[in-house]
Amino acid sequence: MKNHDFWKGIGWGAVLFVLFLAILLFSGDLSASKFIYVDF
Amino acid sequence: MTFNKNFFLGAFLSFVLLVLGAEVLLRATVPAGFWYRHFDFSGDMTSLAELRDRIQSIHPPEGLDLLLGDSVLGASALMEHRVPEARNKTLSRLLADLLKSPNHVSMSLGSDGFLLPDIEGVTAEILKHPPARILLLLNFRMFAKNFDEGPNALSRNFLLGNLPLEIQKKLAPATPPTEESQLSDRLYAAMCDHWFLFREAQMAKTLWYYPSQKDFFQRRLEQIMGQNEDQEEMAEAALKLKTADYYQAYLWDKDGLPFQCLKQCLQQWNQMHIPVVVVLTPQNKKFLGKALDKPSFEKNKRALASFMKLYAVRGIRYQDWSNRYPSSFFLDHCHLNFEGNQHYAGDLAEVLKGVAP
Repeated sequence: MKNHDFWKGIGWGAVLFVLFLAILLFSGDLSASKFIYVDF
Repeated sequence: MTFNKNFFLGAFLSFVLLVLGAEVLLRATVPAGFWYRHFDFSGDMTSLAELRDRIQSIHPPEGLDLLLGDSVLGASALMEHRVPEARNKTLSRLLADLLKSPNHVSMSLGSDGFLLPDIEGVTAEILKHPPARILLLLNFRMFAKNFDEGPNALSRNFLLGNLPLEIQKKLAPATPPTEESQLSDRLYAAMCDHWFLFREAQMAKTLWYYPSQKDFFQRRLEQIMGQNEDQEEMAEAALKLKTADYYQAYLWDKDGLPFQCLKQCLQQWNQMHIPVVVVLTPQNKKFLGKALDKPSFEKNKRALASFMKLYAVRGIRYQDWSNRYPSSFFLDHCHLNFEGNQHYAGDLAEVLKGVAP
């Protein structure tokens, strides 16, 4: 049973990692430039 | 589901190992240039660490052609005008294809909104790995009154530390930045410097949030609901208003910040004996209409040509192409369409081929 919970935890850790990666990749704009719409 | 000690231990171990695994993978592949070879990240620059990675990642046997400039080199205007496969139709991509040989490649560090202080900031990095040739595309907006001093004269704050102190003073804002914004800048820079996963994630956003996050969501919305027919006219009118300032009655000051930065860039490249071609990028006078002050336009072009004459004796070639192409080659005031980019790339390649590395 204990082993089973551990593997479930591993699975949830992987899901958390995917969510974390999604936040890094999709949150916020291209913020380094002060004028994103400088020409548009 | 039972939330016991074993469950949390498993979740923690799995999460940490995956984060560490991703970090190790990126640390092994980024310096070798794997991501830059397989994806086109041109058009934006998100951190100093990214700039260093990009410069260090390419070492062709016969050297590198470095392309410097602003959004004219990239895909932002093409994407704004919903041109399909815009990244394959950029000036930098077409020029790179024309110049490519087994021992020779080119790289564009042209980024949206780049100004001459930005280019001087980039120069400090490129001189650590001198390229074989440099092509610099100057645009009218780089000398505009809006960008001749103060914080708006630099588009990327992370390049500030690469500039001489006298320039840094001219770029200082009238009121010092708040502690919160300074801390935020430092935190962002530190994360980009030391954490590869964060740095590459910022850079990867360029692949979808380009030219901006707003544009990305607008494109998705248009796919579902169709394009708003009035939108193009409104966007054009807004752009005319925005760019009118660049072409107003204003004479460029040869002692001003843009010229000072241009001078320092040219001197540094010359000291390293790097062949340089400087081109004043084509302009679409028809688009500008009454917004263009023709006497200032002509006088400013002459001022730039006379400034560049000083460098002609040192082997730096200058070409004024502001009147080179017809209006049908343009998308707006200075960005060219696919056909225009093809002609522009072909003409630039001819000039560059005549300059021995």
